[in-house]
Amino acid sequence: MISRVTQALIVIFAIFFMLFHAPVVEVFNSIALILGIPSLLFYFLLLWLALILGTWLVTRKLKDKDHGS
Amino acid sequence: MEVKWFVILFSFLYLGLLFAIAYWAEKNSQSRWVNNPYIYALSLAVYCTAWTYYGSVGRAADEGLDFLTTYIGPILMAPLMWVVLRKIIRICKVRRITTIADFISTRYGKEPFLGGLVTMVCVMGVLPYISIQIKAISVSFSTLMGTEIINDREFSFFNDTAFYITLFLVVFTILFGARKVDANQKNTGLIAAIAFESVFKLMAFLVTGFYVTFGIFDGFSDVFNQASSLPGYSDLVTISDENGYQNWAWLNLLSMMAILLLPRQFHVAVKENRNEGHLRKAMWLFPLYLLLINIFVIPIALGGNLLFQEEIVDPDTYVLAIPVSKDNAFLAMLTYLGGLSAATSMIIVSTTALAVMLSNSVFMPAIVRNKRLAATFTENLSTILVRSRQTVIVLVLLFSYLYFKYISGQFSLVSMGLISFAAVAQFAPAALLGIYWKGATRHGAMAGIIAGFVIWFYTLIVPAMVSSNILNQSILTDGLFGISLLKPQEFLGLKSLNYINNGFFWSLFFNLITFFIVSVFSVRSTKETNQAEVFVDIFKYSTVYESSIVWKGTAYVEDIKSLISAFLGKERTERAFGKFIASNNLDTQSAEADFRVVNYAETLLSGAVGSASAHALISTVVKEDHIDISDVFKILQESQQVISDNKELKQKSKELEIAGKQLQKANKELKRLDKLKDEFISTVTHEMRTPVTSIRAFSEILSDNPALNPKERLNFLQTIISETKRMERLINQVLDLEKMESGKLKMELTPVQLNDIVNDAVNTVAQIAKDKGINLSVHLLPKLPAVKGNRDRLMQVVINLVSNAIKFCDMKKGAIVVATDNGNGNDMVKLTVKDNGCGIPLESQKLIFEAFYQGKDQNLKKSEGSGLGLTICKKIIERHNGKIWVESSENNGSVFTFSIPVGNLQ
Repeated sequence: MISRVTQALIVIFAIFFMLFHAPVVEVFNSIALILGIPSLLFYFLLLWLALILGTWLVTRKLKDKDHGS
Repeated sequence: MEVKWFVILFSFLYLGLLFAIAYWAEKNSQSRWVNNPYIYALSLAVYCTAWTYYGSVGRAADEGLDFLTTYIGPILMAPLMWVVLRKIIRICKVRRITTIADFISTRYGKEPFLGGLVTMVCVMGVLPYISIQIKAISVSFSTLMGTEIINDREFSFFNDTAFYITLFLVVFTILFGARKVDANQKNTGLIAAIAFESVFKLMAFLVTGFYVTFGIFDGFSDVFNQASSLPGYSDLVTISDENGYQNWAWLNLLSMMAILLLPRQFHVAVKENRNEGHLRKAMWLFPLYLLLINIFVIPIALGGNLLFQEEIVDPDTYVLAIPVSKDNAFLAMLTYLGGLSAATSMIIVSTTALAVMLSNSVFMPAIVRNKRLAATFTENLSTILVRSRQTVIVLVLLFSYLYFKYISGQFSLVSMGLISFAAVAQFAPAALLGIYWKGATRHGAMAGIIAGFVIWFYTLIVPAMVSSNILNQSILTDGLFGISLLKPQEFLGLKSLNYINNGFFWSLFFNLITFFIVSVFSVRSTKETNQAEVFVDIFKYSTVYESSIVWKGTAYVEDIKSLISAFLGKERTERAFGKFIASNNLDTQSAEADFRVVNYAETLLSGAVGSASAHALISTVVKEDHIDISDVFKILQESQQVISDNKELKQKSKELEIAGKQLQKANKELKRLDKLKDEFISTVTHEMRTPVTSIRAFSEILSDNPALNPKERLNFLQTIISETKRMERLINQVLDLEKMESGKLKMELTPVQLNDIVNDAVNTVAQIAKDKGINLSVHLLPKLPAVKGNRDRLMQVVINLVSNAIKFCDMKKGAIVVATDNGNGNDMVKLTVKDNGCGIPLESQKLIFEAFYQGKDQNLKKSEGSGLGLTICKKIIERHNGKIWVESSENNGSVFTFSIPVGNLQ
């Protein structure tokens, strides 16, 4: 049985995998600027930060007995 | 001339600093400064090579956001590190595996050919990658000097700074990466140096990025606003078309595999991991590092495109060319040193990993499996091992240097990096599926890797060879033998992917298909089955690993020890064996080796020479019997049984401990109750003896004195009747309590008004109170809700409480208040009986409702009654689903209260 914390890590991977790929990225794929930065680059940087934050939050709850097997 | 020597001096000062850090860390390997998760996370940043430092900007300037795919793959893999990477780390720790080649070879039954194959793929994939790092050093040096690189056969490399830096790296890598025989030992110095380099290159890149963005331009907005006028700007800040999304996804997948399978990443993430827990921090720190090192890539790339519109400058050199063009000498030097650190860290770790791989998976198996070679080198195998690694380092670095000088001149950093990624991606099916799928076989893994490697070579290396004029251009334009489907860059007619993705896709496709088909149709050997079970279920077996490896045969402890000490030294061998024998409760006197000792010895040896060679070496001192597959499963089941028995035993022992504690508590309670019962019997008999004595005495007087006057006679008879009633009451109470405790007492519950019961009860005892001069007052709450109750029993409770109050009331100014109310809401009825007596000590308040208590506390002992009154009251109230309690303090009277929920009426 995979622990809930490990499941959370797998879910983070699945969600961000989708967010970093088409068709979601298509929504931001334009030369428009957000806060002076091209929208797609801005979107990627924001996602990147969110992934770091999400992983950090989950790893705080990780215990040695949580493993994916 | 002066500037050149100045740059050379700083280069070697930097390398000297690196040397000092490594030396210090090696001497202080247990210090928290070198053994912590931050160092581990920073060492993972060896991923960021000169390709990141210079190449990312070059790629961003030419192709736009595509450069991000090299980093998005690894950050997507970061949350999965705990699942995948930790499993690999655990397997390698238990099995003392040090390289990706040894990992795959061990998984498939320690097959030497497989280990050798993986090593050769790594060498072919990584060597050009090392060479372009040397190229980056050379190019950056030339950029700084404002000179051209001379790459021709006439050029003497004794005049080339990159050559001397390569020589320095040879010395450094030998000293800090290949000095120890046991490859499994941690190279603390090397890792500390890599961590320092990670910090340095990040800092240098951030400073340069900040300078370009905010020094030369006026912030991010300014860079993008100015760049928007450049031709092709929109292609650089967007993903171009439909195929762009496909290419984007495949490149991300490629880097996801690379972060786990590149030899240098495997080296720092797995082999050099000192604590699995360090992954927790690395999982978010590493993506944070990658974010920081990429934040200024686009501004520098666009800035370079803007600044060098009129000049021909290689975008790969923008990072350095910008400060040089602005005559910022300090920044140019800092940037150059940052690039040097990015390149050297990659070269050092990759070379170390290749050296261990080549020595353990190619040279050692070749020596130990060849009888003549083995006989020649038996005496000094450990020296051969270390020397072979050191020789490999020299050869790899010199060959890389020559490759750069004569072949890779025309390759960009990016193309070689991605080709290298695609090479190691060929290990993904065998390595990653192999730790989750027991059905994967040696033949499947070998066939898959060979198929993938052949396609990789054809689709990615052949075009490079054409560019170097080694092969004819027609192979690219017309395909092999003129077959257009065999065009390397449009293999099988696939045109929608760029040539890197085309090669990656087809090589992985054929690799996977072959791996699955051959695995399904081939038979696993006993050794493979055993390793598959242990690899896939490593978290189950890691504590009983030596018992899980099935082995049958005859071996002697001394022979094994003598073999191991040839590699690890006598003292270390004795210490390791002593510890293992003691922790497994094995017979220390036995000359014959237990199978666990044989497995342990092989594991120890694997750390030094690799698993295939270790197996071959152990075979020289043991006589192994054949085992069939059913034995493997039988022994594995036994191992599993041991694990589950252990778990069950732990559980049972925990349960027993709890039961023991409960038993102890019950026994204590029983003893207390037994004591109280004795006291009760003593009290009751004492109470009964008093009336019996009176009855007997008065009866004897009446019997002996028939002439007594009628008044006296009547007086005596009334006393006899009164004492008899007292006895009857006592007996009734004992019987009542017994009935209540055994549940025999039937209590009919009907709606009753507590106020009515209180009035009747008080009337019964009012006269007694009056006789004692006690002021008994009653305060009843009008409209008190009815409850479901037994009128007679509730009256018994009220009378008992009031009678007790009368008994213990103040003798002179006695005052008793009986009151009813409905609590805080309308959900219960409550009765309180308050007296102004001597009060009850705190420690007795909880006990007075217990049966037999009266006998214990003689202060509370009543002159009349059994001491069971309050116990009976409590039982009655509890039968009404209510509660009874007392609040009291010494010399301040007592308040007895009971409450009955109105809800019990429903």
